[in-house]
Amino acid sequence: MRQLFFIVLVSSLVLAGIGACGDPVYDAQIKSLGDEQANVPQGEFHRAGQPCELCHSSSGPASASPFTVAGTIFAQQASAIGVDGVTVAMTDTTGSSFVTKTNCVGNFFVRPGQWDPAFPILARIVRDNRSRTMQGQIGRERSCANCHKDPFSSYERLSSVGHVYLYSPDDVVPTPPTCPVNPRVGGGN
Amino acid sequence: MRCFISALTLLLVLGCASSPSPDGTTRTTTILAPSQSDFSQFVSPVLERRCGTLDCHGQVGRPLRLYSARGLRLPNDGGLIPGTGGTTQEEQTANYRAVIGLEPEELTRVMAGVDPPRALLLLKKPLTLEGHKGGPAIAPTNDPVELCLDSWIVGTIDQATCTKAAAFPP
Repeated sequence: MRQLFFIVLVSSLVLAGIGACGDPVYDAQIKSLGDEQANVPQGEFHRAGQPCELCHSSSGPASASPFTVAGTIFAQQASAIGVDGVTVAMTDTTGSSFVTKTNCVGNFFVRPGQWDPAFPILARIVRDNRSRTMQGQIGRERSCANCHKDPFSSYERLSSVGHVYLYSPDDVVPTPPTCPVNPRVGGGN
Repeated sequence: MRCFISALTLLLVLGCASSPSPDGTTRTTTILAPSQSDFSQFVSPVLERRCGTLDCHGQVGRPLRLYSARGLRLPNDGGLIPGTGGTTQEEQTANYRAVIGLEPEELTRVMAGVDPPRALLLLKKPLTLEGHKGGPAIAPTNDPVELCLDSWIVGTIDQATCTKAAAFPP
């Protein structure tokens, strides 16, 4: 009887230990995103410009709301203001296409029930008479911001293409619509 | 007879493959590798386009690291960043070394005709004959990428097929 108790005790401790061990790299990636911005509630407008899929995946903290592809479209290269109503058109390797639009902070997201693409995929963004086509294919990354991040050092500039933007420096950027939160990254509401 | 010649070639190659220097301080390994100039001109553009995106092999931490004009850039003094200029000669050379350095001994056996090209990780991975985190990247049959790589490995580069494989979208 004591032997059985000992086996159950050890097994429980081992299972508890396994359960307590997360993925430190993954945990650090999520932690690096920082806290939620003050006055911007969790929802479709939060964390513009961040890698959505990091949390919105089957193993992430937002696993109840997973995305297959997601990102943020900004106005210009030097302007981190999200653009509303941009059409994001994507085609996967089987020829299946999906079109969605950005909300007023520039965020867009695709849920598994809407479209679950077979990578690689091609992407194009359009609004009014302006469009940009991605120069390369998306190999397997579901978050735009994992590659399209704003580089901070000369070394990081070797591997990042900066945030996704629609307009050239000379273009007149449309006035942002009324939005529950400020579409400028870090702008709060 | 062909097998015998291939085996003999391999024995000769591998027999001389690793030899110490006269003073015994260094050991040199000789491998067989396909043409570097053909690689730079025809094969590197294929791998850059199909495998070297920033979310796949265009990453510093990824095995078979690939540099390209639209992906990861080799540190440079010219201010080249992703999306600017063309792929430089230094980047093509780095890509060549990444490819031939992946499995130099197996590549030597393939070059000697002992093993088929599909024995190489370079093909096994994208064909998912072996686990590939990026999933299938080459069609099981008649994919221009595989035909291009095959032609490069056997020394008769198929320029038209390689150009087709490097085109975007494929």
